[in-house]
Order: sequence, then C-alpha cells, then structure tokens
Amino acid sequence: MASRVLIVDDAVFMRNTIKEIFSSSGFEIAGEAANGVEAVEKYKDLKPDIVTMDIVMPFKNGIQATREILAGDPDAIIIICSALGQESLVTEAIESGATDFIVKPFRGENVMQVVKKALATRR
Amino acid sequence: MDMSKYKPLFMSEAGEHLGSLERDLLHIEQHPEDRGRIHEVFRHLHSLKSMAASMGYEPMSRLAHGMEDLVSPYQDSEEAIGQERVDALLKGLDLLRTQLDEISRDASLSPAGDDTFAGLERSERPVSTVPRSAKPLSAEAGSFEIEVVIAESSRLPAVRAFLALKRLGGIGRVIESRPDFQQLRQGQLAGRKLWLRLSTNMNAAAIREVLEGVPEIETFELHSEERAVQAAPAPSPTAVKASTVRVRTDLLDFFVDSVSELITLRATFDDLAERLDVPALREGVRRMGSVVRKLQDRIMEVRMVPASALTSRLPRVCRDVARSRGKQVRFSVEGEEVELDRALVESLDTPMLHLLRNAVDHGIESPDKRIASGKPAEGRIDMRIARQQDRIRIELSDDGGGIDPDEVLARARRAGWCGPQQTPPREEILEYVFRPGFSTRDSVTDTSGRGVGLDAVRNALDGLQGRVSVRSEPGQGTTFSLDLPLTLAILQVLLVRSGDVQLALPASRVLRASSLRPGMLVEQDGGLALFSTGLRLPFVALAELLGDRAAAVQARGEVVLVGREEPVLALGLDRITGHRETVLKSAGRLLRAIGPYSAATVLGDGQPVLILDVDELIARDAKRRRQRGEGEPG
Repeated sequence: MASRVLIVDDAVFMRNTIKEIFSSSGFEIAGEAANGVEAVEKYKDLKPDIVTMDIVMPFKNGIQATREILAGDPDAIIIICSALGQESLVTEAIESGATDFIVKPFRGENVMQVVKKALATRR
Repeated sequence: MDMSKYKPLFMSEAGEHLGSLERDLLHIEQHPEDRGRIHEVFRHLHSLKSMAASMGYEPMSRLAHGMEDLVSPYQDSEEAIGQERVDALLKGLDLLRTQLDEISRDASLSPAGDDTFAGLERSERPVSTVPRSAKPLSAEAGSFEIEVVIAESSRLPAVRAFLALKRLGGIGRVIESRPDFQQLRQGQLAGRKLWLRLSTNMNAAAIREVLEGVPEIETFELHSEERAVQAAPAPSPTAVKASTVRVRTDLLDFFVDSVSELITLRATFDDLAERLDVPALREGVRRMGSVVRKLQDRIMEVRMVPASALTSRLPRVCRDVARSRGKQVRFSVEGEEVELDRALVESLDTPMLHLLRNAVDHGIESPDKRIASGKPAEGRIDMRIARQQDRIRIELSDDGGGIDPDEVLARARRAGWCGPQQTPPREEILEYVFRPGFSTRDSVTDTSGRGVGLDAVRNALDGLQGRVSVRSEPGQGTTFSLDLPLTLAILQVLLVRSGDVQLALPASRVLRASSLRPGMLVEQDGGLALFSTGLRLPFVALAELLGDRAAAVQARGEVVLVGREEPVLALGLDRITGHRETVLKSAGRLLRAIGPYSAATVLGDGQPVLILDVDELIARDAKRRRQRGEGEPG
C-alpha cells in the first residue's frame, strides 16, 4: 500500500528530481502536472495521498491551485515546493491551507521528513 | 534512493515505538477509559505504519494499519475499549516485534494472517483536518506558554515558525506571540526562537503531538499555566533537547575497561612512588590519580540508564502469567527514573523476571480464594526501586498468601538441612527457600513454600556483589528485597593476609578492625567468642573457614568485624596489608566452586587476589557451629 503522490511543477527537471526522491522512498507516482490548471484536474481524477506543489507556474499559480484542491477535498495533503526568498508566497500558501513546505534545492531526507510528518498528522 | 542506510535508525525508532506501545496497551487494559493513552497508541501505530511504509516493509506497514483500525473507533467515542480488542492488539504487537526481528536479520517478513483481527469491528476511518489526539479531554480551557526553537538546518526558519504557529492556532487560540504572524510573514525570526501563549482545551500531550508533527523543530518547551496541568493525563518531560547522541554500547564497555586498566596502572605507580620515595613522582602520581578518578566518575555516569530499561517489559509478563493462571493482578512500579549501571540492568533482567513470575504464580491467590479470605479479587504486586548512597535497593512485594514457615521447615527437615528437633528462628527458616533444590514443582502450592529457581536468583545477586532477602507474613504477602552496589566494575577492598595467602575483603562489609589482644577471646558453646568494647561476637580464624587448620592456630594477629549494618562475625587473620580500589574481574561461578570467593582482582604489581564473599563466610561459620552443637549432644 504505497502512498501515491501527484507531482506539480512546470520544470521537467524538477519533476524528475522529486520523482526520484519519492519513488526511492517507496512511494507510487500517481501522476504529474505542469501547471495549476492541470494540477486541479489531475487531483480530482487521481485522488493522490499527497501533492507536491510548485508556486510559480503558468496559467494558475500553486497558491490558487492549492485553494481549489482544498475546496474540493479539505483533507488533501499539499506540500509546497519553494525556493529561497519566497517567504511571503509560502506563508500565503500555508494560510490557504497547504500542509507543509520544502525548499529547493531538495535533499532527499529533508523532503521525506516533511512528507512523513505531513502524512502522519493528516492522513 | 538507497534506504538501507536508514535501517539502523529505523530499527531503533521502531523499537522505541513498540516499547511505548506495549506500555500504553497495558495501561489501557487497566484504564480502558483513558482516551489520552488510546490516542498515544494510535500515534505509535501510525508512526510505525508510515516508517515501515517508507522503508518498504509492506507487511509491517499493513499490520500497523490493521491495528490502527482496531483503535481508531475508540479515539472519539465514549465507549471503553474491550478486553478482546486489547488482546488482539497485544497479539498484533507481538507480531510486529517478530517482524522487526526479521528485519534485523534481513529475513523476509511474516505477514499477519487475514484472521488476525477476525470478529472485531474495524473503523470506517473518518478523516479530520486536525490531529486525532487534538480532541478536548477536559472542558476546562488551559493556557500554555510555548517556546519553539527552529533547527539551524531550516532554510526558511521564519516560515517554519509561521507553520508551527498556524498549526497551534488550529487547536486553540494564540493569545500573543513573538514574533507575531505579520513579522514572520516578512521573514523576521531572531535567534530562530518563537515564543507564544496558547489558550486551548487540549492537553499537553496534544500540543506536543502538534509540534512533533512540524518538521525542522530543534527543541520546544511547554509550560502549562494554572489548571491546564489537570487536563494532561500523561505528562512526560516537556522539554525536548536535541543535545544527546547515541553511543554504541561496545564503545562504552571499551571506555570502562580502559579506565579500569588506568586504575590498576595508577596503583602500580603508587607502589613504585612509595618505594622510590621521589617527591616529584609522588606528586605526579597523586595528580594522575585525581584525573583518573574524575574520568571514572564521568564514565560511570554515562553508563547509567533509567531503571525503566529493566522494568519496561515486566507489566506485560505479569499480565500474561496472570491471565494464563486465571488470576487478577495489578502491577505497579515506583522509581523507574532511578539510574542504574547498564551492566546491572542486563544482569538483573532474568532474576527480576523470575521473582515476578513467582509472585504471580505462587504469591497471588486465585480470585475466589482471595475473596474468601476477605481480600479484593485483584492482587497487587508492587516494585520499588530506590537509590541509597552507593547502593541500589529493589523490592518486589505481593499481597498474596505469603510463605508458610511451617511448610518450609518441614521441607528443610525432609531435605536434611536441619535436624528434626531443631527449630531455627523464622528469618532463618525463610532463608531455606534460596537453597538449591528447595522446591520441586509438584510440591509447590499457592500458599506454602515457593522457591522455584530462587537459588538461581541468589546466585545471580551474589555475582553482582549484591544480596537478596525475603520477608513474608502468612496471609498478608511476601517481599523480596534486592540490595546491590551502584556500579559493578570497581570495588574498594581491604587486603589481608591469612597464613601464606593474600586475600581481599570488600571494604563495605568490614565494619571495624583492630589488633587482637590476649583476653579478648573466650570459649563459648564449644566455639570461640570475641569480647570487645561491649560487643560479643562469634569469632573464627579466617584460615579455619578456608580449611587451613594449621594456619588457623597462629592466625591471631588482627581481627576484623564483618557484617552489613551491624557486625555479626569476628574474623581472625595475620594482618591487614592495605586498602585498594580494585577493578573486578568476573569469574562467575567458577570461583564459588573452589571456596567462599565472589570475584577476583589484579593488584598494581600484577598479582591476582581473590575477593572473599563475606555472606558465605558468615554462613560457613554458622554451619560449623551448628554441626559442632549437634555433634556434642547435651
């Protein structure tokens, strides 16, 4: 019963990096999305256990996508992927209901620590 | 990503969860209404589940998940969790243990059978947006002062603090915080510290759980104000400090051995400095001695572990034995926080299990019998651990049927340990229970003698320079008392010479020493007695107890009075040659076979010396007198 993750990021490289971290920790990759619009749609279709969400993306940013996903499923677990210097955006995402955040560049164990704690608190 | 490097960490964390799980389940069995503990059980299972899943241990994760399902309906309901369910959870726990063991051996994992939890209603797994433990346990709102330190490794510490603040806001109201939300949003967080005051209906455990769910927190401290304390069912230390490291136990052992060698070496230099009489050398040796002593103290400190390491699995053992015998027993432990030498904990494990099993099996009566004798159906077994200066005292008492001295005496007579006409004092009668072969299974009844393996317990205690004794009141219960040195490795001894051998006496057991003057000894009851400064004690030459009659005649130079609190025997010997701090070399039961010795040590000059077992000497003298008394009737 591996947990299933939806990876949202407009950069293929970032998606691959995140994919590698999750799959090597025993997660199943439920799907990928390259922008906020796709993210909201795929969330409805795939019902993943956890979402990694980039903030700055075309069409619809990660904060807006987070709000919309949570509107449909208040228990969604969404981890914001941020870069340094995006403090105000991350706090905005958290205020919008994002579960937690990770900071690029990613280090596997840090990501997993955050993910495990998020899964444990919110199931 | 290669997860195998996380395996040691997984093993140790999972082991800790399983330990806590067992403790909490046993608590719930006694207090099914304790929601706080049910939440704890859920939390441990939940952590195990996710840990196992991320390591790829599917069967373990599945099993933990199944167990979670058994618990979760009781988290929010008023209904008490039933015995059947606790049994199933304990069964599950055993299987988790097996799996953990299999993981450590790299074996494939035994899966839980489909029928493991058959017949028990499972939960529908409702989901909620707040942590499960964050349910009010008391209608009273409390106020908490919380300080959180964000880990240095956090790259967005202000956002991290913001998240912690927001999560805490989810289970109560943040009355004030420094920095506040607005400052955090702007990235302000001085010294990585967040301070806040929270008003909430939740207890401390729930707040802790929220904070533990936030990554990248280095430490947090939680102080409850006013009534809030009452709402916390299981307050454990609320400050979590990250300033400790795990140390491999073999490294610790190496340190102890090295310090032991240093102590021996120092003794060598001591002797040398004494002989050469060079002031500068003497001063150097003295200073080295003080450094070695400090080092020794610190290392001994590091070796100390809380007594809970010894007691943690006892409640489960008590429960299982009680249930298999159809008995009801409440087990309690006092003094789990007392610190013990790790080696002591390991060596006491088996003796304590033995004593506890005996107490349940032979001490506590069946519920019917208890009711018939006006006691509550549920028996009590209390364990108390206390430190008294450089000694540890452990007591295990039951309120069962006690030991019947008449029955013990009858059996001692049958075994030929005591003459048919002899009736030793009661304390001595009870001592027979520690004799090898005292009890055979078929002759043990609930109320009479019990001694299954008590000789093994005594042997183990002897090996630890300790002592076990028993007192018992028929109908009221039995108490076993263990008295042990705080540390095992180092012992102060008095070096003595008797005949042509040098021996050592544990200094703690020598209460007085003086030279033997004519007129101090008198003939008494066919033996000798020592009269000195108002004392009258049985006297014997040490050499005689060691079987050297020729030396015994001359051995009249000095006398030492030995005993525990009061002197009970005067030992004659040639002379006292010195006082040393020595490092014990364990020799186990081998030494016991050759004489009244408990251990051996090596002196500074490399000479080995045997350490006398004072209790055994006292026992030998008593036996000798008894035999002489019987041999000369009238």
